[in-house]
Amino acid sequence: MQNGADSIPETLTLVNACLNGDETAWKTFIARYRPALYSAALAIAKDGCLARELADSLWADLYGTRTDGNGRRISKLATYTGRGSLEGWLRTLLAQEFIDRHRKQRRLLPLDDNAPPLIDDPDRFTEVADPRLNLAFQKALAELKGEDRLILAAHYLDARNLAEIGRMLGLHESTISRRVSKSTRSLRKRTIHHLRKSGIGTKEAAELIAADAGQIAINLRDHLLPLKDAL
Amino acid sequence: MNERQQILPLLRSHLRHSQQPEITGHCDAGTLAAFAECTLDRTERDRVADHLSQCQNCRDTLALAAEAAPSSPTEMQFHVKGIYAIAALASLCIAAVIFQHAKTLPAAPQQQQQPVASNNPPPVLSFNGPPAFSPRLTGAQVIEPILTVPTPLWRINSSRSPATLEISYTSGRTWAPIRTPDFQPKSVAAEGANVWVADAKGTVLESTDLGLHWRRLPHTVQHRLSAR
Repeated sequence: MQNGADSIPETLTLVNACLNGDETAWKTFIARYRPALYSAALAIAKDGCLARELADSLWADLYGTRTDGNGRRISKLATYTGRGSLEGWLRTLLAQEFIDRHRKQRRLLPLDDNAPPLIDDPDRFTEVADPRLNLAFQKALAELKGEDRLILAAHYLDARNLAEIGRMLGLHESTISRRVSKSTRSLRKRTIHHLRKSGIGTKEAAELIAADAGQIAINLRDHLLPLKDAL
Repeated sequence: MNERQQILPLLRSHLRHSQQPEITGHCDAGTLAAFAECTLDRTERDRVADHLSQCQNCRDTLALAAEAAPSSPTEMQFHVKGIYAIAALASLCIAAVIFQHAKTLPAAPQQQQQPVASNNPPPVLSFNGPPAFSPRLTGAQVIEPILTVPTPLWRINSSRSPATLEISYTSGRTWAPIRTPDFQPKSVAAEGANVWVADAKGTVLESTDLGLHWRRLPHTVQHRLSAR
């Protein structure tokens, strides 16, 4: 994955040669991508054994352990379309495989009967908001750019820091910080705008947002305190 | 509670509500890779970003893949490159100002170089001109020669007929004859570049340039020499 300079047509040619069973192409592919594939697996899994297992599994899929009716190997490489770099594609495959395994393992874990009930029921929060405010906010959120919604979701839902989001989008963290601030400001402004359109005055709209925030905060505290006491 | 804090609970609530846990059409690896590398066109990027904002599975995949990526030329590096470019530009400006300032200063009086005019040939392996890298030196100064030559040896080669005066610069390994027209040397004495040769009759020739030019010494001098 250090061969970022390889052009997409060159990479596609290499991939096609590998798919056609050209052994020299395979050797080139191995020489170029295998070491980087293992280091990417290590970065994702954070554990040497798991990383090797993950990379070996993907490597086997790429080479193709099964054959079709014509005796050709069925390789995962056939799904590479050249949309992104081969390096990025391999990293994403590793990440997908890691997440799939993680989720499968989580499903297999026995449930703890004494575990506290889940409190982050989404409906609990939307119930608190005034329906007029809910509708106005929903419209305001829909008006944001998809990328801004993604930034907000990654920051406020997934609790990712600015640097992580920056890496996801190929942007600097200061840009992400600016966009987070701008989007939240814009959301508030647009929400007030939509509330005003529905016949609510500016002052009342601002009070509605403030009251709702206070209510949610009280609501959250009410639910978190018993959990803290239980711990 | 500031305006941003007011909006956050509502935002979290709506974002959580907008998540689709059972979403079927996930982004393929190629699309996610292209998204991270910013190679999708604007319309598709918006579409993918819209999906990502609702799909935690794809967001997690993208984040993990991005975490495993080696440092790539991101916007941050462009910032750094920009800083370097600005620094380089500033350096150029400063250099230009200094150069312009130096041009406006009154010219320093040029030292009159004394011509080293001499009819005599320059000494062997010595250097009289001022070197270009040292403007303080004047033409009158003489720089010591870098190469040193061993003191020449002199001899009269009697094995030849007639006997000849010879000089050696190789400590006696090789010898070269020195012409002494109409003169048969019998003995030789030397001090630096000065050489004196005498014949059987007592005539003395003197050379001050290692035997290139000769002159006959007057008899009085010859007398004094023979008297020593």
